[in-house]
Amino acid sequence: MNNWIALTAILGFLAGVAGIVLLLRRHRSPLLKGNRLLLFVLLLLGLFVSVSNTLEWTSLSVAADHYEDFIEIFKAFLFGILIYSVFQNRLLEQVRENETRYRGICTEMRQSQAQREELLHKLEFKNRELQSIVYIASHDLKSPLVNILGFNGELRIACRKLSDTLETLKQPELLKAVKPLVFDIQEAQTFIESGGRKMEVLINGLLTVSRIGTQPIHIERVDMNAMVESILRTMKFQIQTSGACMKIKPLPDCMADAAQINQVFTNLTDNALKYLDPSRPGEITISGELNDLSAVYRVTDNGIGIRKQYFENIFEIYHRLDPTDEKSGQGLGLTIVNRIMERLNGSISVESEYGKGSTFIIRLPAAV
Amino acid sequence: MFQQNELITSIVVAGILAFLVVNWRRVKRNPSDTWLFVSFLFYAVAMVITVTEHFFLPELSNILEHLCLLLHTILFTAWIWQFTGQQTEIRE
Repeated sequence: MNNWIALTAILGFLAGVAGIVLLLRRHRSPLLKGNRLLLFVLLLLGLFVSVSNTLEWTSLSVAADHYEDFIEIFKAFLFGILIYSVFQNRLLEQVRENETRYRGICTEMRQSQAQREELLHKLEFKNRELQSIVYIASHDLKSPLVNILGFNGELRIACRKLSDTLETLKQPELLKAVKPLVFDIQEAQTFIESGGRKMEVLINGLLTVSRIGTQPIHIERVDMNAMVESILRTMKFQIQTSGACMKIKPLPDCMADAAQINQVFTNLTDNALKYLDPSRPGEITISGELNDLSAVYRVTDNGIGIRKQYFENIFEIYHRLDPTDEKSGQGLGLTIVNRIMERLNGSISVESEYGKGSTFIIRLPAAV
Repeated sequence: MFQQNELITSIVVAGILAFLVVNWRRVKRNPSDTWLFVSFLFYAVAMVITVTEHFFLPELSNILEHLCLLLHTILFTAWIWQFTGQQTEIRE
């Protein structure tokens, strides 16, 4: 039995020596910082125990055995310190690693933020450029159009005079030859006139929409009850003509540009009146409520309603649900409303059931 | 009867073991340190056997104790080898 113990002691001694040699060879390793001495002492204590056991086996000396007991306690303490130290170093490594990762993320975030701001500036610049192009183009297109329509009118008068003159000359041959030409010219003039008028409407629409983007905004507390009352007074004739019943519920105040909000509610009420269902008495309700920091307004009608697939399109410029319908207007009302809401940090959405009616929901910052 | 110093060593070792158990989730994140902890485990077993050998199978327990101490030293040296080697690799 003692031989086995001696064998383990000798092997343990050799392993300890190997550990010390290794430590001496790699003593510059930075990870050993603070632990070098501890490791040396631990290995030396292990060697001491091995030597003590070997000597005990050879019966050369048992003196070291007396110290062995205390050495074990000491070694256990040192081992505990080593484990704690290694544990702390690993924690520090993790902290440093996390710090490096965090710095990397911060740098990436800063870069993306800078890129985002640059893109935003570019976008803002392009937007302004586009707005001014639209404005200038529509403004400049107007004067040649006025000329076209004006001279077309002149041409019509001249044509009529020519026709009358031919009639008075009483030359049937000439009249027969020229009359079809005069008829063609008059037909062409009608096309020019209607095309020109259509173009005028489109250009005016473009001008109106582009002007909204450039108009200065004065944000103030808006008394919505008073405003809606004034809008309804202005639209009294239209309301009476349509025979619609208007229901106005108490409305919370909001922070917005009064003139532009007036335009929004005028357009929405006008739309509601335009699209009432002739088969039943019209009913339009304007209501509002506070929702957290927003004032939410609803313009509800029991009109013809909108099919779900048109919900997105109705806010597009010149979009009309029924282009052949005279009352559907220029297709600008909701575009203007949408543009105004964007500028006022608000939003507009629609809820509708085809054949039953629509509700336009306006969200604006509530008055504090 | 067991000696006082053996009991003190066992208590210290038990304390360190408790520390390792409590922090095991963090400790096991670094696989290279496993050898150090296993080495310590053998040391702890050796210390426990030192106490228990007074009660049963004294001779076998004694051999087991020294065997555990041997494994502890070998694993400890292996850890130093791996620990310092790993660092050298990182430095390169």
